[in-house]
Amino acid sequence: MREHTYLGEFELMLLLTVVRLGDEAYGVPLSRELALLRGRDVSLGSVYAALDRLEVKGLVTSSLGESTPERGGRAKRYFRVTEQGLRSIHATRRILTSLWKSLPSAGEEPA
Amino acid sequence: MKPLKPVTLATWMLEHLTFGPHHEALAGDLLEEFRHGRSEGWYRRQVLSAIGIGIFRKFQECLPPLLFSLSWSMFYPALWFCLAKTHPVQTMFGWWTASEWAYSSGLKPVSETIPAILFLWLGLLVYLLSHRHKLSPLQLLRGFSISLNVLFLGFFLHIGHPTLDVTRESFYTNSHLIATCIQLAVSLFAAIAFTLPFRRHHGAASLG
Repeated sequence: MREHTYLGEFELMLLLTVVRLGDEAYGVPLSRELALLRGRDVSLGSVYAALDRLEVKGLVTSSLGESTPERGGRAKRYFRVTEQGLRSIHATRRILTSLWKSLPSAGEEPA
Repeated sequence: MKPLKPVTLATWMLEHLTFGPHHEALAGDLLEEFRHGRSEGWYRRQVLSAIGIGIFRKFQECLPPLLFSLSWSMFYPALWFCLAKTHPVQTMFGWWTASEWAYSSGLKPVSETIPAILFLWLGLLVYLLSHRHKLSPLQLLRGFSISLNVLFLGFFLHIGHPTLDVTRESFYTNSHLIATCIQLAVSLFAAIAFTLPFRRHHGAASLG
């Protein structure tokens, strides 16, 4: 097993959104929150594809929730970030922070 | 509550044409959004997008074993050509054809099938070892068995035939050779696909 799993942009956003939503992290609120943050619609299929990848990597776990008539009797699937997922978020943040430190202001010549 | 009839076909497509483990939850989420005022067009676009993503991911999972199977099978004619030219094999063939009827008639199927089977099994083992897959003897046996079944199914359907006429001048260019390689590749790919689970779980054996 690799010690760190560095995250792509969408995966990182998704993990942070799962953390932010807490116990309410299932497909619909996740895609709504992401759409709000990104300023454009997010395909639910791509959200689930990314969640599946993260689950395979061991960064999130999922559990079945309640089914409602408005969902045609289909159960919700709730996602939760694992300990390994949190470590990956922090590792990615450390790298990005160190890279951002050398970012020049707009209009400034890069060093 | 908004009726679901306009999106019945799209829902059916979503449930039957997506491969992910969460397709039921995805279908529920889409219905929930639809009931909360999303349009039929939005629903259909989401379904098509989910199906497209599912197909692309499945293709990505299948690509490494497929490429390996094709590459490995390309070696078979060359290997068989080299082996058939060696002195021990020539001697064995000479001895066999000189034998009496009952024995000599067995030469053809044996010389055609056994090298193909051994080559397939070797390919499966090479793939598993190179990807460090840990399998139980039962899983390995299943892989061997599936490769055999697909290979023999190919024989019966005459898709290809592992007979290689090494005496022909057009040995490397005839269509028979291409059919043989395809049949071996399909058999090997089927063996890999059914031996290993398609979905890669954390820390578990998988394709790719």
